[in-house]
Amino acid sequence: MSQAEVLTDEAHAQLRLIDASTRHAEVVGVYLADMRQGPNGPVPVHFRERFRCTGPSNYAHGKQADAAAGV
Amino acid sequence: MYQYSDFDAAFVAERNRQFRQQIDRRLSGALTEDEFKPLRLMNGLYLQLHAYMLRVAIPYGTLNAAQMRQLAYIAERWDKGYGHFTTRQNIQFNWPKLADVPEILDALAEVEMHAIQTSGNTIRNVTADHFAGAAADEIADPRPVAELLRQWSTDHPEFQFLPRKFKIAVTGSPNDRAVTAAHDIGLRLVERDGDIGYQVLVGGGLGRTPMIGKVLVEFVPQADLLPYVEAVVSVWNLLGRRDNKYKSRIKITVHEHGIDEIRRLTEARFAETRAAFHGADLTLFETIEAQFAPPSFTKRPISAFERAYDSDPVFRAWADSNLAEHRTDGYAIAQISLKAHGQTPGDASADQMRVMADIAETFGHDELRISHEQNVILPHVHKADLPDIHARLKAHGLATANIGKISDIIACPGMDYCALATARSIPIAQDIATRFDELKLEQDIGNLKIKISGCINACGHHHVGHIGILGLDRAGVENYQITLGGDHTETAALGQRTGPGFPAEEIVPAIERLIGAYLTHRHSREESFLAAYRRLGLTPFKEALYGTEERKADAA
Repeated sequence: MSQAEVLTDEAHAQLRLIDASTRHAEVVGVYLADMRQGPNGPVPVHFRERFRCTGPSNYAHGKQADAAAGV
Repeated sequence: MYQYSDFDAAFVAERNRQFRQQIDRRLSGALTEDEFKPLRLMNGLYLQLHAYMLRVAIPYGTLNAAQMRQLAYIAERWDKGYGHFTTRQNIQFNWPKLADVPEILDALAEVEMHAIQTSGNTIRNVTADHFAGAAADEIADPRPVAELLRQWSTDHPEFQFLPRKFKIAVTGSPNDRAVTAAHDIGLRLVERDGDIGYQVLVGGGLGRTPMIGKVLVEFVPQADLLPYVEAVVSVWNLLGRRDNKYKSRIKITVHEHGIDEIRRLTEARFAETRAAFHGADLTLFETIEAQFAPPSFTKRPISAFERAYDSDPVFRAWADSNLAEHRTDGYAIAQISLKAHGQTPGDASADQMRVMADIAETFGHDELRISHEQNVILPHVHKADLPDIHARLKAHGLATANIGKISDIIACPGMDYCALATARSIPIAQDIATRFDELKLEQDIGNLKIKISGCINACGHHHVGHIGILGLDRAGVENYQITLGGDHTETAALGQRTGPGFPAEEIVPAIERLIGAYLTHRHSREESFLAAYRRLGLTPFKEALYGTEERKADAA
């Protein structure tokens, strides 16, 4: 996530959303999420997306496990 | 236990075959997610925050050992080694890969299980008292009628596109352990002049508009049950609000039209549905009933139980909190807590599932139940075997002696998994359980039900918790509202909101203050938290939460 490209132009963001929405074989349920700059790059503003970036808090599963395994 | 007929097996196999092809088309790109969504939802496949989730029905919460072992196999082979038992007596797998789902469904079909109608606007898995067929206080076993309803509602052509989902629960006992008052239809078995029939409640539900079900009719004889239930669903199917999903559940229909009008319409419709039933349902019911014959109980001394009870304090504590009275002398109902302190409520690892299956097979007449409280039940165990059972459970982290206590918390998956959630539930449950275990107050506090939901949809039943906790998003921060005085039993009541919510780091101290107030004000250990709340009202608890000044400010 720290390497994410942050879009600041709403119209541009909408275009990118439309583009992402057409990539049915790669992603599902795409939406725009608010971001802010953190010390190590952009981070999601809302905790929902922060959780989605890591995974559940009760087990080390999901993206946190993928990151630890270098996936 | 019910065994599939050839018709059942063929039906499930055909649905699996169809869904396998639908998944193939989705994976090949022939279907978009939007096109695929209604198809996957007909087969219990959800999309959550991190992955797909498969919700598997456990009809009226009943499993045999082979089925439990197959769930363990699925958890290990295609998921991450565990499953999550839910408040609707289902099991959820949180990490299936879409390409593996057809294999999982075929594996389920091998043991007569499926995921059909565990989502979508249909009649969902029919739930029942988890002590069914075993409880000492039971009038009759609710499972045969639950199975009859399952067969009737599965792929019912009139009820595949209802205004919204529809949930039915059945209790065979006057002590309601099935939360019937919080279901679209709640059925309570009653006896009148020697005949078994049903009191029918309608319009209960939790969610954003919680309501306690109202009695639609005091007594429906067995012979009329299916046509009567069909009449109720049929009336709602026409009246229910399809314009607004927040107003589409039958509780809103009953609220808007009034129970008397719903009763009148149901009676009118019942005259038609009754004429269309020609008795095949009754023949079927008798066939089903025969399959739920009680196991052959034996008479043996219980001295092994008594010796362990007198000599082993750990066993004694477990027996005191986790056993319930069985209808047969020498037997007990044993509850296996899936609420080890600090663990995720309702989760069982594949190893634990196998241990429970082995115990059920060796000692428990091959029967297991899943409770809506997210625990597992051994409904028929001889007391003489309990020391052995306890030792096996203990070796696998399954002997927590906390049933009905403060750490036996219901918690929905919350924002750790669920796409609808507004806050997390699981860490709050873990923190509360861990804290009260450290304080060593659990046994002293006694019977107390904490129920946590991570959004207003209330899968965690917070409205009917003695202490309910609702997780919300307040300006981008997780915030938890507290309700008090809820009750899920035959004296069902909705909890009352105490006031402003608490951020995550303040919720455990808030619960501690509530418990402190209870321990201070209770008459004796015999007065439970709920009884004390009913006697004292909200005031002392509100003071404990917010302080006296805030109360005065509120009153001003």
